[in-house]
Amino acid sequence: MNNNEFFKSRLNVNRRHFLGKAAVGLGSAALGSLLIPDLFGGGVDEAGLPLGLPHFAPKAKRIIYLFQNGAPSQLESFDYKPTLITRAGQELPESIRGTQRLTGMTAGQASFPLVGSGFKFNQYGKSGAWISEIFPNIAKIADDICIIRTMNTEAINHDPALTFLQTGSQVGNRASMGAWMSYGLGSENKNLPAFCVLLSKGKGNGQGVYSKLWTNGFLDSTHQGVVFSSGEEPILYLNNPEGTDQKSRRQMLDKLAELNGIGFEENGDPEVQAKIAQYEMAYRMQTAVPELTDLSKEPDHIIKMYGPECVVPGTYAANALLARKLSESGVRFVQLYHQGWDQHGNMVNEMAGQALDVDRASAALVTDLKQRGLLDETLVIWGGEFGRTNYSQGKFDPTNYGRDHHPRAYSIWMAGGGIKPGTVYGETDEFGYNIIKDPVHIHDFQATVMHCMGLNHEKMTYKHLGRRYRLTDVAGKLVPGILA
Amino acid sequence: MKINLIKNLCLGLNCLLLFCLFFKDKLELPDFLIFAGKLHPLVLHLPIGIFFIYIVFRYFLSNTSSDSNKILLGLFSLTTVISALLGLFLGQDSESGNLLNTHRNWGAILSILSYLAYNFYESINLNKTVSHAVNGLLALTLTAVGHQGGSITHGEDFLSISKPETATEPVNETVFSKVVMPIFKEKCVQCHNDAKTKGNLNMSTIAKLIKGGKNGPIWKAGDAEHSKLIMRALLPLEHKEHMPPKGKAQLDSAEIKILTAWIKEGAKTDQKFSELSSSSFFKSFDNSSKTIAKEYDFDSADESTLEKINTPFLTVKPFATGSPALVASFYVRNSFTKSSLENLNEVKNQLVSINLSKMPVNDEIFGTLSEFPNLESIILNQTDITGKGIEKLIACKNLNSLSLSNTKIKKEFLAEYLKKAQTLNVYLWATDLDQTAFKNTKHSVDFGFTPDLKEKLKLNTPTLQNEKSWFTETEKISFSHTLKGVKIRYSINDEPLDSVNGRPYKGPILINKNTTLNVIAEKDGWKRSDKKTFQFYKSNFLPTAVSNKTKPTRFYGTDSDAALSDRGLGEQSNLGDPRWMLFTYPDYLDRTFQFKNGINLNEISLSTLYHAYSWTYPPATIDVSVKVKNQTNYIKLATVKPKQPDKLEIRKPNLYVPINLKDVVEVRVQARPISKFPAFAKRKPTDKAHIIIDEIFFY
Repeated sequence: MNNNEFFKSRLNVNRRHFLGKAAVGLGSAALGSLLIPDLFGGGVDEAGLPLGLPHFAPKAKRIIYLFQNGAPSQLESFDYKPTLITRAGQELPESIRGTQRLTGMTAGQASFPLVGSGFKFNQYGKSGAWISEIFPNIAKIADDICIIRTMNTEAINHDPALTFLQTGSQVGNRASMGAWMSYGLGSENKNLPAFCVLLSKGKGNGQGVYSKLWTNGFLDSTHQGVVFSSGEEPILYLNNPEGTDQKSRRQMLDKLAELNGIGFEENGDPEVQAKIAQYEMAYRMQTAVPELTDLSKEPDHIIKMYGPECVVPGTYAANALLARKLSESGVRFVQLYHQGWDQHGNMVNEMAGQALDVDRASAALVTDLKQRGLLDETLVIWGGEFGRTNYSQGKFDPTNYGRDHHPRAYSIWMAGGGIKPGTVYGETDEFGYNIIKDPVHIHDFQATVMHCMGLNHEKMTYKHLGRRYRLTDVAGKLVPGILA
Repeated sequence: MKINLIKNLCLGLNCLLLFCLFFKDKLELPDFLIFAGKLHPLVLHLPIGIFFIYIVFRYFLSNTSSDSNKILLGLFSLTTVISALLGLFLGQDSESGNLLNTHRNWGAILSILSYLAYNFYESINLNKTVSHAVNGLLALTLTAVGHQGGSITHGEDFLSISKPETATEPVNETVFSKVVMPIFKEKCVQCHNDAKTKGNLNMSTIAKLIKGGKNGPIWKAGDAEHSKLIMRALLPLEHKEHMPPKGKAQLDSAEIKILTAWIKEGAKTDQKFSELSSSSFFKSFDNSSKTIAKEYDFDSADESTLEKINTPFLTVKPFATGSPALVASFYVRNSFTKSSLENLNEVKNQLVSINLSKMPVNDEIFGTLSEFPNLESIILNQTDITGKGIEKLIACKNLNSLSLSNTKIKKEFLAEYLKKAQTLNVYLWATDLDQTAFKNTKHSVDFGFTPDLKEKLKLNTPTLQNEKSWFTETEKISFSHTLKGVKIRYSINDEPLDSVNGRPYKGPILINKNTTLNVIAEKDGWKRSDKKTFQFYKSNFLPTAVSNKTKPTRFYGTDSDAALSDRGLGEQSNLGDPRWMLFTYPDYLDRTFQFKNGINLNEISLSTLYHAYSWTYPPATIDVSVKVKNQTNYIKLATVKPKQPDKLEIRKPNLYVPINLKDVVEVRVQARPISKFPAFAKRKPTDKAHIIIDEIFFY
């Protein structure tokens, strides 16, 4: 090996690990270790809790996050505001808006005419939850879900808001929720990634999703979300190439691992070990994945349950069904993104279309988990990154209106492991603009989700660049009102 | 500094101190003295430091003069009396508690002692024993006063080597001690304790809390709205009576909610979780806030055993940190082995949950499972069981959840077992069992989703199999549907397609010119799918050169010369796709396409989009002129006026312009956006419409 290259490979050693190794040799560390007994004991996190196990009795073992990307309007879905209909066309009172900043899209508007929902609402379930007519199937499971109407965030544009919700910071350099769960709780099924990402697109006005939303950030790359392809084969290149059988594939991997092992001895780069582990998992996935996608052993009416699109790869319904199968097979965190919820205009038409995409399959997923006895141990989350304004974007027209971004209050729902079913939590004012009772900040939401998984959000930390990072950053408090 | 000055100052200040101490109840301090009082924590360190130096000089440095020692003692005395005075001022501002009183009195004693020691320095130093005794006395008093002060600021148990373990009693804890008291401890007790009893309220113990403060009890059991505790917490932060005071850690909304609920439910201090009614707000705190796993009386399995029985296809893990209970899950049907199941015998006592979903296990499994006495949850979904021997599960006394969904479980076996079993959650979705047979049972039985035979769902549209929508000579167009037993019908161009009209799709459709195909799917028991329309463009020729007369409006999309003749089609859902070219009124498309050798041109087709919500409409007019070989003039063809839409939607309009000329060498295409929106679009007069084009095909 050329000297220069050798030097470069030395540079590849992760600084953190290098320092970790060097510390062992230092005499002073011996003294320090008297004070910190677990300093050199492997397999524990910063707070001295073992990795791969919940800190305390978990309610949920797995999460399925049905992310509605683009910010579905709370006023057309779960936050019923008849006042907006009676006062339609009137100006949003200054006292309600207060000092709220607006996006560049409506900041220049001369007037802010209130506009009510173009859809009818009805009450469902024992809690009498108001649900819009475009979600008839979610309405049917009202007794299984907990609607939170007082989510609030700091970001006002899609990308920062998404990143904030998924990683705890608006700047995209931190580990995402799924990566944290993979890091903190490990994988249940060693034949599949612990964190899977499924993408779909509705016909509504869409916003992009980027890999930073499922990044491992500063955590090891084994915790990164694995994106499934939306085509016929959810995982590309999984099959052996023609002419290669299982036996020679095994031999090849063994030899490769041997070579990589030598590499690791030389350069000590932890990414080499991550790679060896990934090759092994891919090998086992070759048998695990075909079983996963096999529908033949399920009753035919599974299609009626999720809707006919569930057999069309790449649709939301197909992803919801796949999410159930992945979760059932022990995948810790399944993240769906359904794009197209950004209704700056054409609300009635687009929102109805988007709802049609997700309503039946979302409800089916909850029912499906329940009928298998899995809902108790699976946490299902449905929602977007922020809400939408109670005033119309552009010209006022009660039949064809749009709504701009609104971070102060919006609605999501959760179901399953650890969540109090059949509840409506929090309240907004009659204009649907401000929270008047029980706010749930993004960090509170994250803290509560972690609590359901048996994790203390203040204790699960990772030290990086001299600082201990948490999913909830330096904030977040439990929301006991939504816990069962 | 003159020695006398120090001496006199000390004397004077000590007198003032004694005076103030004596009349402390009547003192009214001016603001600047209240402020000065706040310097007490700063100044108090001076006497401690000076005394330390004094001792060092006096006993460890033999060559120091008696004078310097005396000056040090003088400074000690002076700073002591100043700290004592400031401390007194500070204490005046807060309510007195036992510890504060003691500290105040002893501070004064120290001050006077130090003054005396200084004043009689010479006499004391005549006798070594007396001198030692005086210094010792000063040291002791100083330590005592310092310790009391420390206890007030840091809490009384601050100075102990390790915090005493607070004994926790997980079973039958009271709601008060677990949920309510911690809030008081965190947010209130700092100012309302034995040492510092602001407003005469001491919140450190239950008895003292019940007693209340100077205005009486702080809550009215059952009436949260009229309880001072809640009222004052809800006052605006700026209000004088708001508690906790501005600047201190505030109660958050969850905490206020807890306190409110607790008062509403009777403000009971001795109620245990086990005594709560089911509707109680605190019911959820019993488990959800518990940070330790459920208590089990069996031992944990050792780590090496766990390591041995774990395989890539069987995960056995503790339920939670510190819990001896184990959870086992099998994965990948093809890799299931009997031996890994047998290995579980080594942890049979610890196993509380087992998931065998989709594994190739049959009725023998019940015998195996009955060996695990502590099982609470069994998942056998989609296994090969029929239920024979299920009664053996009686041995699992703690079982509470049994999942048998999607199996061939038989009624006679299950019913027999359920008769004898303790109350269970049983999951029986997708089994052949009759729901009515399990109606009157103590168990909670879930049959899950049963299809509503009356409900007809709309089918999804057929899927196009072809990958591209242009072709050169002829093309076979294939459709498929993801559901079995679906019939597809189609129509060509403007032919009607509805419940009666339309051609049955029997196999690939052969086309040889620009064609629009409409398709629908139908199946018994389902609603007919929406109509879906596909355009297929014939493209025999690519131009040899292109020249632009006008530039596109760069809102998004491309401005490349080749973009309209590269057979690349833009994505319908993404108008920013770099294959789309956009013109906003009054801009318009004007391009000339050259065919060096001349072509026999039948038809051209424009691939555009009608996207009502993005202000994108079909062109108002399309003008085509053609130049034929060996001629200099253009032949102007009739202006095409595409049919304009009558409602808001997103679709591809079919824009085919017939030519039918031989030896064509140049084609000039002009397409103009509409100048005015139709009325149904409800646009402002100043808004401008677009056209968007990704390709022009020639055949």
